[in-house]
Amino acid sequence: MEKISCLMMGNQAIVRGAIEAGVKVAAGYPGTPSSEIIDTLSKTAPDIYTEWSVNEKVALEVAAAGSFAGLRSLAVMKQPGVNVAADFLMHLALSGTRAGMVLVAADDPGALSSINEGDTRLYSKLMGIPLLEPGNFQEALEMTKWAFELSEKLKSLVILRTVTRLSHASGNVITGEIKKEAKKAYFEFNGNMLDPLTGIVTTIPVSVKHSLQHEKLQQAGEIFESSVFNTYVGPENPELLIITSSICNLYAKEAVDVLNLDSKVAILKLGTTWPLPSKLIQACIQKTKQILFVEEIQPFVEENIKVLSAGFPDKFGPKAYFGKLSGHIPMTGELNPDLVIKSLEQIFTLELRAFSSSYKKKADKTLENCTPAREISFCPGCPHRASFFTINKVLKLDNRNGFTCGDIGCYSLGILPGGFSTIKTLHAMGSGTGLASGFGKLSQFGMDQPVISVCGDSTFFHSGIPPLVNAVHNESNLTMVILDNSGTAMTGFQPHPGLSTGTGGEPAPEVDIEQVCKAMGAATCICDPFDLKKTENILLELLKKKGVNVLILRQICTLSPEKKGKKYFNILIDEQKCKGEDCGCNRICTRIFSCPGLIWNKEKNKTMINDILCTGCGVCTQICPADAIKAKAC
Amino acid sequence: MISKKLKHDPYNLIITGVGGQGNVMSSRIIGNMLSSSGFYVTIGETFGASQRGGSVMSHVRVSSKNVLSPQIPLGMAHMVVSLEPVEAIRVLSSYGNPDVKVICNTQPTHPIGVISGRLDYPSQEKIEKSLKDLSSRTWLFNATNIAMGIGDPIFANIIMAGALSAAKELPLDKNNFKTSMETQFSADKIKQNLMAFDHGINMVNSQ
Amino acid sequence: MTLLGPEELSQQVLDKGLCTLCGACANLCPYIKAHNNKIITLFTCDRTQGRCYAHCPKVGIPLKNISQSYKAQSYTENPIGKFIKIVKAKKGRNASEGNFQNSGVVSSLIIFAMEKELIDAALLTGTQGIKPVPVLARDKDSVLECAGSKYIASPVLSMMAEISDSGVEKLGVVGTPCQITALSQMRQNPLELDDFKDHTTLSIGLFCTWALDSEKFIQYLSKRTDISSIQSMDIPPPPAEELIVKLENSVKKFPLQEIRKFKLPGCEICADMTSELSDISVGALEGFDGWNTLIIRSKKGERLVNEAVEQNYIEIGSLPDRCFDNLLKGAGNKKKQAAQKCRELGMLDDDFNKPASLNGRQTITGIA
Repeated sequence: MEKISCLMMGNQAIVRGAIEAGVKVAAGYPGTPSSEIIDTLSKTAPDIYTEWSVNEKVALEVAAAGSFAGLRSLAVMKQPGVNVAADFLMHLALSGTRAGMVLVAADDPGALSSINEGDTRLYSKLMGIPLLEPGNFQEALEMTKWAFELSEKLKSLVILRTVTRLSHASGNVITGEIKKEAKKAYFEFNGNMLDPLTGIVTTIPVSVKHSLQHEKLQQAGEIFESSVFNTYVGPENPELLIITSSICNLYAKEAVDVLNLDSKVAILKLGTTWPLPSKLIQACIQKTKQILFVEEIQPFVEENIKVLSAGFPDKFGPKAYFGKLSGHIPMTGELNPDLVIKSLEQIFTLELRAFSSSYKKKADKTLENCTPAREISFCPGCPHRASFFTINKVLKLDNRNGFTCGDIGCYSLGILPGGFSTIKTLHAMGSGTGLASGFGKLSQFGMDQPVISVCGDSTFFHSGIPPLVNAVHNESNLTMVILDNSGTAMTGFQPHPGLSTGTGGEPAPEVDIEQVCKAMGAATCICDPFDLKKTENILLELLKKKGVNVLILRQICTLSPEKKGKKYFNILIDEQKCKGEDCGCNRICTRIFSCPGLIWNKEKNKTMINDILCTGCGVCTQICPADAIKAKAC
Repeated sequence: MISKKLKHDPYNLIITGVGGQGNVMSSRIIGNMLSSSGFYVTIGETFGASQRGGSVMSHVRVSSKNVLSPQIPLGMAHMVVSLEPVEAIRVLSSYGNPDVKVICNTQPTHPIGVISGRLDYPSQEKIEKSLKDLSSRTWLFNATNIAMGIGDPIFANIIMAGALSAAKELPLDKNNFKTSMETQFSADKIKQNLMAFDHGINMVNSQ
Repeated sequence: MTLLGPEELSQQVLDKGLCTLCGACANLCPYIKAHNNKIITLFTCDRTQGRCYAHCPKVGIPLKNISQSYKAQSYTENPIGKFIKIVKAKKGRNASEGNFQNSGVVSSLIIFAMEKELIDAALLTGTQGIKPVPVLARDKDSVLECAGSKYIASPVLSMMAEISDSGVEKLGVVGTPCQITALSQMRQNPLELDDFKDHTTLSIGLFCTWALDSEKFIQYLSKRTDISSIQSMDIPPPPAEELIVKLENSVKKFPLQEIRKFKLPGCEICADMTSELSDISVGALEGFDGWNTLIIRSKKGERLVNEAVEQNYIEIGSLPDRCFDNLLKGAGNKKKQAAQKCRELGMLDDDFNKPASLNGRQTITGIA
């Protein structure tokens, strides 16, 4: 009898795999495309301890504690989070784990929802951690499940690397049975100090632990030689062998299908990419003379197989290698079937796939004439639009070429025209305030520009606190604006320590941002960003003040479950007062403020309200110089 | 595993619109209906930054044979269901071909550039002509207005799903829809959803 | 003159540092604001015509037209402009006492005009500390509080928009030549707006050779003296080459050579020393301590002066020929130097007053 399959998102398949494996502890920090994993666990698996931790390093530590105490554990983060966790990660790789522990790292090739294009796989090599890469939805489940077993066998952390197009795509998955086993958590430490299961857990003596780690890697390599997750599909002696991993497997398959090359091209899909299964690779490469590597971000498999080939010249022999290093696959950005098709067309010198060129021409022309670009911007009624409007205005009024250091969250959009291009630096979580702390110390070299950093509430706890402490202690001069919208809005309103709810929605003690800042010695005040004039006046004064100032701009996100659909005001246009182009305001409401809740009606020469989108924040009423936008209390 | 046959295998459906219109919900509903009929379904989606008022697109791929790439190759869509008119054109320019069919909601959502008066939004006539020019068959109607009549613009999604089932391109039927609704919603919600689905069917059957 | 918009104003004046802070462009719209004695552009504005540009005295205002239409007299090449009469003047017996720069003539005339209900309020320059600020004075005491030269530029006319909404029907304005020029242009309603109303009924212009940048000058002073104890400042006529600062208990002198470093570059292209477009102009008088030079330019000005003399608010006397000659010479030199500077800056070129091609008609929401 066939098992019933259901449609699952990659991330849900990973969750299912972890549940089937009997995971007991799961921790993470929200970040696209990884967030649904902890979200789903916290909603569906009450018997698992699930935690949104303050940051990724702490999440990895919390999960590791579970493993040390004998419980299968899971840490989840997007790739930049692995950078945050990297210090503990390296030590954990060396100290080893006890019960199965898996780190799910979600990479974002093409930076669809990120501001970098990091590749977690290099951490595996750098730190000596076995690495798995699911190549489809079923594997996302199976591999996750198996990763726990592997980890337990090796007593090593295992990294499962997913990518956006797998995590957020959905496909058919056949589920298995859930392992139900009651486990008592207990941390054993009285045994022989070198005993991995009963001794102390640490990286020292390093020489011993480092050797042990290499033994584990070797063992992993041997296991990988026969792993079912490494598959060879295609003719016995193909003209070309594609070596691929991850979702690229599906792109490669599609490309071969579209070009009808299945009699000429074979695909070796590697699910275990560190350490590489050397013998399997040798055996497959011997079947062919040409190899194409299809992978995203770094040429990781490509380079490491080339290193292998140098070690076994007689086995590998002279081959033609194609991939990122030969220019057949782009070095940056995400892949898709078309890019693989293109490289196959190049290698097989095929004619370019025949599109109906007259259709394409017609479509491109229509695109040009008929489709206004759709820029991303803040949502209607977003408090960040009001905050950046004021910050931008205050920096101009201050007239010293002051600037804003940005940070990570929805408010990163402050770097775009929709945020009035207010942000001038944008890097990692917490880096805005760190940079501001540095800028604020450059007055001895003649720097007289005032510095503002913006930081979200969740980002504040994640990594905004250390740079603020640094600024206070080192007597820097900066104004930190905490854009507090009461949640981790960008990734779907996960709670953070500043809120009174925990991961599963239960009541939790809240850590008051204002009190934290005050305790550090920063002059701290709170204002509602929807009150433009008050915010402007406070900020103008703060910029003149020396030292470290904190302004908390607090207004709940319009999309948050508590706020959604609730209007503060009904907004109306007084059509007598709105003179449109004849006013002299040059449409500051629609042209500059540009809230999607407003419509510029060219025919009527008036601004209108989009009742479907307007959230009734009332900010535009403060912007209209003609007093033509009216707010009526709801 | 398959009880019904597909017009094309794989069948490539694109559902497009603007962030916040419920694109993801639409693709899930349709995907679940097809998956429960025994097909392999792969849905590729963009979300994250594109949620904030940007263009969004779901690739729904249906096959009786195997799992597919979550991205449809260029020029290979069979059907485009669009919740916003210019988004349909945008999708056709990359994934369209002379045989593609289009079901499109005619209610515009203006981009920021149009709100600010910097860009122009094409006229309804121009959009209709362009869509007809670029497809072998089009069904156009204002699903948002109908949805507002039911009580919430979000029902436009369900109306489009109903329309898709009536276009008879994919093995989707109302019973199928009803079953999938019953697993997710309360009775009053189901009633509204079924009403929306019927509206969609009528829109296509009357054109 | 072509009436252009904010982009051209930025390109021709603001970005070149030629603004002398009359304030006529500011606070009319949501984009250009006067803040802390600076003109600030908050957001880009792509209008092709605006009052901001039309009012600006630095973009080549057609003095001839203004003079013709608003004073019903042709413009003269005379260095001190058209006038009816020039006299020396000082405050009269019936005028109030105050902390005047010279003789108190300006304050006395303004108070007199208020009492005669020729004006119901006056736009003056007051101070906050030593920083000049625009003040709308509605009574005698607030007029007296504004007495004394400031030497620092302040965007007085930025208050005009607010004043026109404030119910003031008859406004007196005291300003420097650039401010009086801009005011005259404002009163022309250059964009022919339907809802325009001219509230100004009296303008008193001051003599001016240059003004100082507020921030730089105050910074200079604050490094050398306690600015909170400054009572007044004076630059006596040549040959004295110094700025005299009266403090609470002492006097400090600063070489003028130093102070000139802070003068606004835009003053170098100003050809008007005596506020040629005013009803009455007032300035220092060399060699007669306690007296001013008074130029009566309009009938209205003449009537006011005559009545003020009759009622002993001011006292006048004939201006010695030597002083008149020096005045002509000084004003003539300023014109020559300004013409030279304008030529250097290309402002006399044919294509100076042309629309900016513009980094695109770009708006804040779009990356062009």
